Amino acid sequence: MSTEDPVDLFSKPADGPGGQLCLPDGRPPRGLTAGGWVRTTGWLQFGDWPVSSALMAALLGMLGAMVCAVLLVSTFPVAAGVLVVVVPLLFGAAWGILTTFVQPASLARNIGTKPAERLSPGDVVRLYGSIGPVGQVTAVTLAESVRVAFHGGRHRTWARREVVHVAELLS
Amino acid sequence: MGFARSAHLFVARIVRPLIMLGLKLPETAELNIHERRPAIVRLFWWRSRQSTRLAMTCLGVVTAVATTGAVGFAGEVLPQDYRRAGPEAAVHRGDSFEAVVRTVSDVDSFDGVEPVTGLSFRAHVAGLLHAGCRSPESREAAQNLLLGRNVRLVVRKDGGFDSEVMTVDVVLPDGTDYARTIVHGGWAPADLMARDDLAIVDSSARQEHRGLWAVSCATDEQTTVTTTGSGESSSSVPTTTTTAATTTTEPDPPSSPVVTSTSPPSRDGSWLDVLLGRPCYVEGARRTSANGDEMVCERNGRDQLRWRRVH
Repeated sequence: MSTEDPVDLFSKPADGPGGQLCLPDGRPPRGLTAGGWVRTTGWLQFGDWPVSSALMAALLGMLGAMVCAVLLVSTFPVAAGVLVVVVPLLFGAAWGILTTFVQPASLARNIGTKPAERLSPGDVVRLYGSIGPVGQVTAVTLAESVRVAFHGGRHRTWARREVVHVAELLS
Repeated sequence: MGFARSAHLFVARIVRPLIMLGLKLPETAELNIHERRPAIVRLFWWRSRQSTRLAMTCLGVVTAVATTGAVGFAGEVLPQDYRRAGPEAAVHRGDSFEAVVRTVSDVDSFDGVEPVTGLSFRAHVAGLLHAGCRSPESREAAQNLLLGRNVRLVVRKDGGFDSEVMTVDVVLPDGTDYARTIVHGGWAPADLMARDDLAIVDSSARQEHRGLWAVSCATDEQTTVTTTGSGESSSSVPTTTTTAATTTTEPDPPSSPVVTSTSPPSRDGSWLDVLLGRPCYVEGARRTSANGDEMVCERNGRDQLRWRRVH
């Protein structure tokens, strides 16, 4: 290793036991893929509170159910009422099952932003924008741009001052 | 933990392969970035600011609600076919609702529309007999009272309610009862089976020769009743009444003041069946019932004219 190579002596450990990305409690993230990046779910966050995407799905179901109920209420009033109650529950439960078993995804919380040039190994960052998949930084190479290597072998190149969203995995 | 592991294995080994065979599921985050780059729409969604995502979501919600409202509103303003949308679709018996009278087909029937729902209906007015004796003036009087007016209708619980026509009481805009007004004017005989409270009004209209009773019906349906005693007509006793059928004049009245008529009772006429307790029109009138009993028209405790047996 050259003495001029940037080395972050205070970086967080990139991998957990066995070389795998893991949560603070030692478990692997639910949305961890074979490629080393983590699939996440959710697109809304108020302060430190990420809104569950199952809740959003339930709200979407309620909206659709209300639209249907308006059309049905004159002829099938009971069915319309049942629809408004049942459909949101079904939508929320279905999305929960989907993101837990079928396409496992983790809940993540954005905890701040930083310029790409200030990333350090161990940081968990959004790969694209402010939501979406996250990856854990394993190496940062500073040049005219910043080349960042992620856990699993993925690389991304950002401008030095481009703002990157740092996230925290919750599940 | 055991259940979770079993469920995960079930989904991984059975559900996912089945789903992948059938349809492509929406990805919860992105496809394998080693294989291909995320779709541009997904990239746009990920890279958008939270306020932008919220605005887009709200826009979608508003659009859905507005579309639903527009569809519902359009459904209401579509012209209604009153033969298909029967009145039972809008009202129930005993309901009271406002309506605008669109056409008056007769003194006792009209077509209307309920402004709130846009439903059209056909109504029959309770308490008015559809007698054969009608004149254009009757319909004209009904049109003057009803046509284009915003009236309040009370659906009769005991009225006929077939697939197209409902029986109603009509309250005119000034608060008066339409049937009473018509009967009082003599433009239609009262149906005492439906509304016995109109008996007095009907009787007075006949006695005072108002409306129909002044012209055509008077000649067709009048029965002259003479009273005797001293051989002269008595002014204190009704001397003239109307009946539904032929006119019979008693040239040689009996010694007692008896009202007689050879005409059979008719529901469509001015006489109803002479049955004990049934309504009658002229106080003091006497007739013989079908079983030979001598009947007299007298007031009961509620000041209603009813046939009673002569004692």
